[in-house]
Amino acid sequence: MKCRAMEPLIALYIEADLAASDRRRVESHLKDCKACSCLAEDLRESQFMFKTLRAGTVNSSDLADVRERVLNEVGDLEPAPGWVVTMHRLFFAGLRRRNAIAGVLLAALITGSVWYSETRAVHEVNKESPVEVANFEAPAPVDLQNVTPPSVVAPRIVNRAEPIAIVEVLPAEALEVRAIEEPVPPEPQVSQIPMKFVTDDPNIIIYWLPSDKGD
Amino acid sequence: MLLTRAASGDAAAFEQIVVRHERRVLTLSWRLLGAMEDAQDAAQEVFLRTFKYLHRFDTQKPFEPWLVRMTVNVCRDLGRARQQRGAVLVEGRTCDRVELRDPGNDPHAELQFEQQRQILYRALNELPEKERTAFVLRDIEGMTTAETAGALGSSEATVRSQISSARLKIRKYVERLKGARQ
Repeated sequence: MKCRAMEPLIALYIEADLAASDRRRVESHLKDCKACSCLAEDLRESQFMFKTLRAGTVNSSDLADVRERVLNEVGDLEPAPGWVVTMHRLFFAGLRRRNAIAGVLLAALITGSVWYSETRAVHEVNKESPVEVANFEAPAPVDLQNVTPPSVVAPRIVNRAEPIAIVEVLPAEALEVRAIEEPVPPEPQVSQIPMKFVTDDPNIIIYWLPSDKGD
Repeated sequence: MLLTRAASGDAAAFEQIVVRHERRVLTLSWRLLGAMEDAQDAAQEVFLRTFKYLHRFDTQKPFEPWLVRMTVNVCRDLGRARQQRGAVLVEGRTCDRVELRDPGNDPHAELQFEQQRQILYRALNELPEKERTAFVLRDIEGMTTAETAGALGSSEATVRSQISSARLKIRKYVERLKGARQ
């Protein structure tokens, strides 16, 4: 490995910040590379110098100054109301605020995706079996005011033309009977007769509009 | 117990918390910001935020990491505001107000020690903000890599990368300064 790539590892090695495998790699490299050994020594020296800064500490008068300012400010502040403290402990006890918010967002996301998938499934079912309305014919409007209630259920009336055999009277010499072809009977016509049923209750009147088939 | 009392508005309990942690907070602020006036402002803000948000703190967890994290955040905010103002750290001004625990009796050694400190603080000020914060916490405050990552809200791998880069930059800067003085 080149020395340049080793430098960041050496910077960590001098303070024992490396994992065992990386530490062994650095140690074997330092044995062979004089330049990197010098770098490690320089780094140790500058680190040692920095550790001397730990000895420096702040002045007591500066501390007293900060304390006085803080306590004066705090005297003017109102502490959080008791119910806020209680609610916060109730909801966030043991949880970090960020985690709690992330949990709520995750729950909302899951609920939303479940709702969306359910809604989508219903739409797809509706697309597959659409309601057929093309063959539906609404019955003709009937003026119910002018309907006369039948006394009995009327039988179905069919106007049927009876087949007629026409016989011509011909002279004797032409005694010959010719049968005339039976005419094609016309299609039966069904008329729609609305029926009205009167019940015991004068407020309830039932109207029946039978279809062409009589049902 | 003390924290619970302070959270419910007990001023005496809060004062005890301030007395107990003020040195740590002010020292860390001073190391992060480099100027005592800014550090005092930061420490004041840290304790005011502590008072305001203490009810959010989970008392079953250790208090000091929470306080250190808040200090880091406040110093970051102040540092950015200072950069926007274009303020420049005045060299030596900070050192005048810092007590040395081991000055020694030799005036010559003390002077040399003071020069070294100035070099180190200049080097520290050259670092990018994130590297500087990671370096201060890990190498000057003496926190572990995991503690530093916790205080910065980042991963240990990120912290290792930052402190590695910071150590190499500081070493180069110190070498350059030494060469220039010789």
